[in-house]
Amino acid sequence: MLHNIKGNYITSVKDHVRQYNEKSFRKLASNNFKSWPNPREETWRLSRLGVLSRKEITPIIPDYKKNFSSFSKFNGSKIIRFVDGALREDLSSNLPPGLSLNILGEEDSLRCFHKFKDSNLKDHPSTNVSFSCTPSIVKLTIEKDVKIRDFFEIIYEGGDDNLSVHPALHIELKDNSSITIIERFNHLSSLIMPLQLVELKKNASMNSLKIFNDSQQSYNLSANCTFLSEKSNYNSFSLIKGGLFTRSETHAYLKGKNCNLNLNGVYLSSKNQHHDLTTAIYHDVPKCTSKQIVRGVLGGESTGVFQGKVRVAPDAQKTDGQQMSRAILLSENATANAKPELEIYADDVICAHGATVGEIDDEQLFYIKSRGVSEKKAKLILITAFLKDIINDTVEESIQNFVFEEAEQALSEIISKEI
Amino acid sequence: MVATKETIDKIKEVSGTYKYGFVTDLEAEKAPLGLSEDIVKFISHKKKEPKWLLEWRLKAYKKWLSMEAPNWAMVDFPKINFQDIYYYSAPKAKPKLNSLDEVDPELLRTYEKLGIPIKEQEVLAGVAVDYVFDSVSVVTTFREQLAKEGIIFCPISEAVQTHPDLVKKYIGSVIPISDNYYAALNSAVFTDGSFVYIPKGVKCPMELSTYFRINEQNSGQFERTLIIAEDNTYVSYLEGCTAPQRDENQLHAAVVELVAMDNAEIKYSTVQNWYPGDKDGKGGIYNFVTKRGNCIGKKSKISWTQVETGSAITWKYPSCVLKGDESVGEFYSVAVANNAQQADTGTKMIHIGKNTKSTIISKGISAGKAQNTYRGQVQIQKKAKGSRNFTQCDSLLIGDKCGAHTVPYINQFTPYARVEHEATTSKISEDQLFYCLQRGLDTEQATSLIVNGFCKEVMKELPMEFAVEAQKLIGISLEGSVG
Repeated sequence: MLHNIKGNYITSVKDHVRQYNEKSFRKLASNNFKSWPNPREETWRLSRLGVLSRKEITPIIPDYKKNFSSFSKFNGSKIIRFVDGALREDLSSNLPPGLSLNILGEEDSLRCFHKFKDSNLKDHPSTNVSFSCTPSIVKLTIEKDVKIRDFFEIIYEGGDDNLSVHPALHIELKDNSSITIIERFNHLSSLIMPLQLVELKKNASMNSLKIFNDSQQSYNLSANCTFLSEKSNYNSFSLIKGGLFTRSETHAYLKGKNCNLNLNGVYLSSKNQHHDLTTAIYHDVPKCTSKQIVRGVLGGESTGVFQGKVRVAPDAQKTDGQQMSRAILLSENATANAKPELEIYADDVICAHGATVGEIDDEQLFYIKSRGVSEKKAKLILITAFLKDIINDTVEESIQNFVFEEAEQALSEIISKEI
Repeated sequence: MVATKETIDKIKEVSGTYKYGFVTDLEAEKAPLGLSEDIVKFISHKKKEPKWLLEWRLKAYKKWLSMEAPNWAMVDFPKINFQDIYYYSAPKAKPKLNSLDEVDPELLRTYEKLGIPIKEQEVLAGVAVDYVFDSVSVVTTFREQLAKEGIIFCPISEAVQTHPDLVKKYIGSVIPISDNYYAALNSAVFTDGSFVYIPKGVKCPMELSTYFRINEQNSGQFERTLIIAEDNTYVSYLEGCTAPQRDENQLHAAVVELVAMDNAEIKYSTVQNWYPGDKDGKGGIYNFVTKRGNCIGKKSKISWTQVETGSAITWKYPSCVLKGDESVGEFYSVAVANNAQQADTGTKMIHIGKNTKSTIISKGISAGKAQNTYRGQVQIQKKAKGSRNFTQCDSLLIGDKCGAHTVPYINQFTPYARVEHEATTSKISEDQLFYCLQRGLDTEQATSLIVNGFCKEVMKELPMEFAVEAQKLIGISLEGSVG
């Protein structure tokens, strides 16, 4: 078999693109993939991938006959389904007018590739591997002035042991359009490398909810590159609960004045899970606001990482950048890491970040216990409140309950062992 | 108080330029240019060092050869040619000095120009001073009085001769030779520095102080300071530094090691005012310093206070390793960067013992084209139950061409501890400025007033003698940055 070269993922990626010519974006991307990130590299110091180089993994060849029909979580929502990293229109809903789904040709794919190459995601392993190995880059376009009220669910499924999947999605919101997209990652693969390019044109608005819930042995290295134009609004929330190792990395470029960005997230980690939320926000123009709120609950021997960088360019006056991360450790063997970073080259700005790590607050616990509540119950109340707080503050009202239910499952798993 | 007034007057004379930029014309004895095993041997021989120390130096030199210069700091400078530096430069050997009267008058004049003349120190009557000129410690004051208490305060080269056991036991115990590139270099070629030993139960009756000065052209300064505080002791140590104005960059790579036993407290204050280079970034000192304190004993405390206004490039992270239960680490810092200065500074607090506490207050001020970075790490290890950290780092930007960056790392391995970090970046508020202008201050005075208010939390930690100087220094450093 062509794709069964033992232990060397780089070779199998190269094999995967053998049939393409030298100018193809796949070849260009595969030439850039030379090794897994070295733990000495600053952005990968806290989340190490060394174990991947010892695993026998090959890129998947999608099976278009596989049938998946996991149910939607919402009544009447539209579904787009990716199986083995490939779009399955036969398993997806019909799209309403004003919305289109296309498979990109070579030229447009190359353009997407260059968007990543010009960003600081250029050395992310998913950038190079997934552009090499994705079945195709799928583009979802929301036309001008179209406001989609139904929820859109994108479900990623499939994959298998020792195989890597490479879904690649390009979302473009044209002027004055808006949409809410819920993405659910439910892969069975050893390695998942999703790519997402989001482009928001003038006055466009997008709510994004990502739920990472891959199988217990999975490595998910999600790379997201977002561009915001004037007066656009991007509101994203990531819930990381599954997988053995999940890193959601988002780079957002604020390119138009008066745009607004929210990158929020929660990680709920138990057993030996490693969860990482990495963000980089680039304020390149004046008068934009960005806000990040991240919370984590850690049990077992899990590790949580939050790395958030806010860069304010010399011209980006009147920037308002806020960042707050909090983690609660419930187990003696859990670890929390935080690295909130500010890089500021403009003077007329308001930027702040805060980070706390600790256990449940003693005084709060005492207060509840003094009302006759058992310690176990009291802790449960406090942690639930800790999560509800951020969900109510940052998630769109109509999907708050759904997010909380999703979080509760993971939370009960952590709590049942720790309290 | 007379002396304090004198200090203020001295500083008032200065009009916005670097006032320490003079060169003292002294005959100096130099080692040949460059670095090699022979130079290391030469320095060791010159200092009449015992064999173990020479071997230790050579080991460090070999280690250094195998290491690479770190490049993770947010500073930008051309590669240093380590073969273009004099590693040993000393004012021509004179017979051993017993009192100030025997010091070369040229040197004395230098001290006077340094702003805090020795006489003044004597008037203040609370400060014993060790002067390190280029590579060699020239004079140490008040030694006899200190000796009565059993305190050893002398150049480290002398301590190697007189107290070899203590030096051998503690040198490199906090910062091993392999710690980092510049620490390895320093271990190989360090020429002098201060040595302080406080015996059990002694509270040091006066502030100890060292003044560092780089005088010779092309020479590097590699001093090494070692402070050991035994059980139930207290010592406050001050350090100040200046250098002449020169067009080329000079290297200063120091190592400072502190050891605190049970119930000991070490307070280490620095006013760093190396020559920062001219407006366009020509010349200036590269200040690459490794400072670390080891709180070995129970309830020990190490407190770092620094006011960083000089140097073309600062790369400095005074840290605390909190090993003893209930030990305390503190870091108070003001870093001012103007014109083309670059500062990457911060701290590390490593919590190992139970109920350890640390506080970090960092104030960064950037003006002109300067880049100012706070980089810090707080690590709570598994056994550090009940530990607590609070970090606050604020940055102030003056002008739209400078940068302020914050890079904190938090690593926590136990749930029974709490770490809090907060940081803000902003410019001087229009309201505050308007208020001051309305009261008749000009923009420069108003800025200076607001900046000093911004730094107040740190300034109040400085000993009195330094606080006055530091406050003025900040004003001077920022001159020309507004309007």
